[in-house]
Amino acid sequence: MTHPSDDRLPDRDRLPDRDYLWDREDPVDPNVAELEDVLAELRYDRSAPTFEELPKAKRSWLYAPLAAAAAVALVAGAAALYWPKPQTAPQPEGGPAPAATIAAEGWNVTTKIGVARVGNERVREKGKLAIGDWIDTSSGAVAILEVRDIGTLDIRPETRIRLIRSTGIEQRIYLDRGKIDAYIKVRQRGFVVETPAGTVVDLGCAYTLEVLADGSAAVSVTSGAVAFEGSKFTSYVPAGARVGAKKGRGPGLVRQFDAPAGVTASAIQFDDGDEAAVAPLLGAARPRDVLTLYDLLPRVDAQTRRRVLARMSDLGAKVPKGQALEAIVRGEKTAHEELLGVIEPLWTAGPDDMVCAPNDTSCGARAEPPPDPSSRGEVAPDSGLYWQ
Amino acid sequence: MLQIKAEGARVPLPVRAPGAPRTAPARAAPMPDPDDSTPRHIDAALVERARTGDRHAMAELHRNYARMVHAIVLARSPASEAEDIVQDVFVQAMTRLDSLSKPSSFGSWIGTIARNAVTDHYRRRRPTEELGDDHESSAPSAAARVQALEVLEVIRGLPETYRETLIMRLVEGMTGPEIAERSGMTPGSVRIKLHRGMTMLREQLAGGTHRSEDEVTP
Repeated sequence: MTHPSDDRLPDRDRLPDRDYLWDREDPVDPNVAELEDVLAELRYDRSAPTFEELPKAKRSWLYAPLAAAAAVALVAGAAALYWPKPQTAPQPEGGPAPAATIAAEGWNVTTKIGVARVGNERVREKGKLAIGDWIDTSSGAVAILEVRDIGTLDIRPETRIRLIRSTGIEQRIYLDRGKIDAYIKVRQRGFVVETPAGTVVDLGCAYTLEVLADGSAAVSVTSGAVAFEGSKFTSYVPAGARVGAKKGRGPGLVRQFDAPAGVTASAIQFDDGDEAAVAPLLGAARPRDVLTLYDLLPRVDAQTRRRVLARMSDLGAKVPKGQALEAIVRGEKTAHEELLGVIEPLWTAGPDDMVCAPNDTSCGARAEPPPDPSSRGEVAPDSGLYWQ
Repeated sequence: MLQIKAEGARVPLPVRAPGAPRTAPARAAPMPDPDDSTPRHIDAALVERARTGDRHAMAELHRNYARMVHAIVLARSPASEAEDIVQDVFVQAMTRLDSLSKPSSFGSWIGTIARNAVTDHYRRRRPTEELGDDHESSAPSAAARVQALEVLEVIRGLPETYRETLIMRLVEGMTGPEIAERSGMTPGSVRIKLHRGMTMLREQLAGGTHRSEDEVTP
């Protein structure tokens, strides 16, 4: 085994031709070998997960639930696909009507603190939430709702929820008011939360969702991602980001938890209808905020889209050129969605994070692992609502 | 037997007795020949197959990258939780394969997912939850595990630059070339990290005082 060239290395890093630390070949370094023996106790030895629900190729994240629904519909011989539109104007008295269901046995409810009621009946310790039932928590109360076998919801105080649908492919609730923490493990079985301001489609994640008395909603995602669907726009909200939505208007611009004050203020200003906020938003954006700029694209005209794309490029995004660029400028949905994957390295990277390009031979020498989570200075995911 | 002082986490280096034979230790698992390590273009092909729903391709990617991902996670989280986080990382990767613009960059891409996954894991940890205590175990191999965790703690005390690479090498048994191939780092960078990290680890294990390699190597 030969070593790569040491020509660029300082003297102290030049190694002998035979180096057990490097290639595990003789002569054995006994210190290294003993450490290997001791630490082998911690070696990863699990087999691969079953990956039973591997998604098919090139399925848009926006339409994953649709495809799942389509598959079941075909098996059942249904004449047409079924994917209910977001109910942006739920019935004021009782929310959306509960739908027909395959599994009507209900979800388990556990009261942890205080008083939780299903309908008019108090849940002493454990209970069931059936299709069409409402659950209410009192001031200071916390309850846990098991979303079948795909996850759990922590229901915080003064929260009101109705179970609308629970089938093999979709679990749907209506959050009328209050706050929930959702922990969903299985994306493919579609967990959907309707609110007065739009619909949150889970893409396999953990998030906090709050609805205020005026019907406004805010979601903060701590793992995975959600799609927040409004009547006009759908926002993609990955881990580390949040978005607010208002009744009748849908989601606003997605922001990183650690977005600079300039980005936050401009985004809120834009959401309130002031297009003059675009310029300061572009100016204040960091590379991580390309996520916000991406969300801005469908909300502005073609000319402004060019400015936004140019700014994203300045921030390091590999914005496509030529026809692909023009497709985004024209507002073509597919081209816009593809851009999300292109810019992902920017918005997923931490402030000091860096990923080496495969052919960047100088990258490895200067690449450093990101700082520990505890040192990132990130804002707690639910420390403030979008409009605050 | 390793011993750790109450403060400073200084662990005497497990040094073989003078005169003991220098033979290769029993390896926990057969190590791949570095020359046989999966080239990036093969990984790219696996990614393309996985995108079409090929579970075997995803399992193959898991086989190729799980140790690297585990090392990244282990550098940042309790060992008792690392394996679960690794599984989560691969499930996340599975669901986001379409967003990977360069399939040949799978290694660095899933490495980033792993680092973010640890961050997510800590974010969503409930305030009332306590950190997993890696040192509590009733398994028959508890003593060996405790010893391993003691050394791991020392590695975690090294500068971040060296932690991941040292864990890939010493815990996961990856060779330097394999680490470079999987992680996207240059071989030269891996060598620097291994060499400097090992020097610092030896110093820490020996009690925190600076000693040259010759002094601590029998």
